[in-house]
Amino acid sequence: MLYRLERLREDLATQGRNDTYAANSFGRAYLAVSALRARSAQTVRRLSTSSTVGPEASADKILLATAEQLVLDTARELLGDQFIFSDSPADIEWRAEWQFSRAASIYGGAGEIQRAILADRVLQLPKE
Amino acid sequence: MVMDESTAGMLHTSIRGAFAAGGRAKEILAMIDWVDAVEADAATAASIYFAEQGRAVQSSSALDEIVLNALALDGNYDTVIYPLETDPAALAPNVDVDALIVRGIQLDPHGRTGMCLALVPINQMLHAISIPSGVISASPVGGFDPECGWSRVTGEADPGSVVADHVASLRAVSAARLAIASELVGVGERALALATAHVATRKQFGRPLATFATTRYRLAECWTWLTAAAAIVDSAWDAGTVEAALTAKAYAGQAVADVVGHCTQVVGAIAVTREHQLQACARRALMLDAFLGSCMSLRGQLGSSFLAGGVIPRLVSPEAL
Repeated sequence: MLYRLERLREDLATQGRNDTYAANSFGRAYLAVSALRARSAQTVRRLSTSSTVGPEASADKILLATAEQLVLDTARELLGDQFIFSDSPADIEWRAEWQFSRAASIYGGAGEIQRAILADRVLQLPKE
Repeated sequence: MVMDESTAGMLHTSIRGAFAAGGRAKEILAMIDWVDAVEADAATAASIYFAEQGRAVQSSSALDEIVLNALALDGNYDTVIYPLETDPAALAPNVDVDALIVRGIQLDPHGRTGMCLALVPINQMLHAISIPSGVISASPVGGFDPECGWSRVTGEADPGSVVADHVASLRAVSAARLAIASELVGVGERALALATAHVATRKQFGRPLATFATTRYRLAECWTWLTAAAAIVDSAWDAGTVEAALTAKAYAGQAVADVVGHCTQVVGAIAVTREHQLQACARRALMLDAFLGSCMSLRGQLGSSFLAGGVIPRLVSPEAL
């Protein structure tokens, strides 16, 4: 997902956009990607030492969906009209990726399922 | 040197047990020989201790040791003065000075008589200087969380008293930011534990609050954010860069603010009363977030450096796996 942030930065540089609002939004998206990378690195390490990964892995999926949607939403917001109206191949690709990112919280176990798994099996809350 | 897993496990058990038994931070630090633990393995010691201090919502001057250890200076310092402002853009230039005005925060001013190490901006860059305790005056910070026990200090230092340059000072601030990030995670874990216990028993419409989807989803998100924050802190210690520490502190500050918000909402009105423990967590989280760079300020710093063409670091490199 970092390559998308790099692409977004190039587009923003072309637009000459480097205001505080853009910096804050960009920083926020970077934090979400970093959270995903740090957490999934831990999970991969755990898998490679052959221990089983339990219900805690639902957090990874939540972080994935959060990061992917936030990065693409940041692009949509900061690129503004270009994102919505431009028919350049690069912008068509932005829109396709944004569209696909909407499914990130649905495929592979919807966000609600992941949260229910954590609530039941990690936090051990009484069941619904 | 790196602490092995069983030593780290024992350290963790004894710290957690001591806080759970109502021990005070100062006594616990003496019991575990904090200075030695930090010298042996600052990353492990900080990650374990500060998460527990956060969970207990206590405070101490344990952070001073993290800073002094990172600077590895000759000479004895018995306290550290932290800068109020760390954003380079907000640091006032102070060119051509005869005296250096030190303004900052001291975590525990009691019984300090020796030399202080102060992190101060000089020409918009942080430096470490030495200043005698005798020339500084301290008053309680108060603010949102008077129980934190911090003091606001001012004093006048000799401009020739610089003992560490910008690079070394930032390295020390980075270590401190990681320790504070762990403390924030601890505060968030305490808030989550309080909320989890409350909703499991408290009933509305004839069933426990914990059986309502909205409550469950919110608390599951809290767990996710806290786990991610702890993972970023670990990765940032491994990466050892200023940006990684900044990222960890920013994420932890944001995560814990969101956790406290969610927990307060599911616990309900009792959680917004001053005497409820969740409020102590909320106040401490805000103080810690503001200390050494808030989430807002740090993520703005990260974002503007990236937009200006700075390297966008991969917090975890493929080789680290």
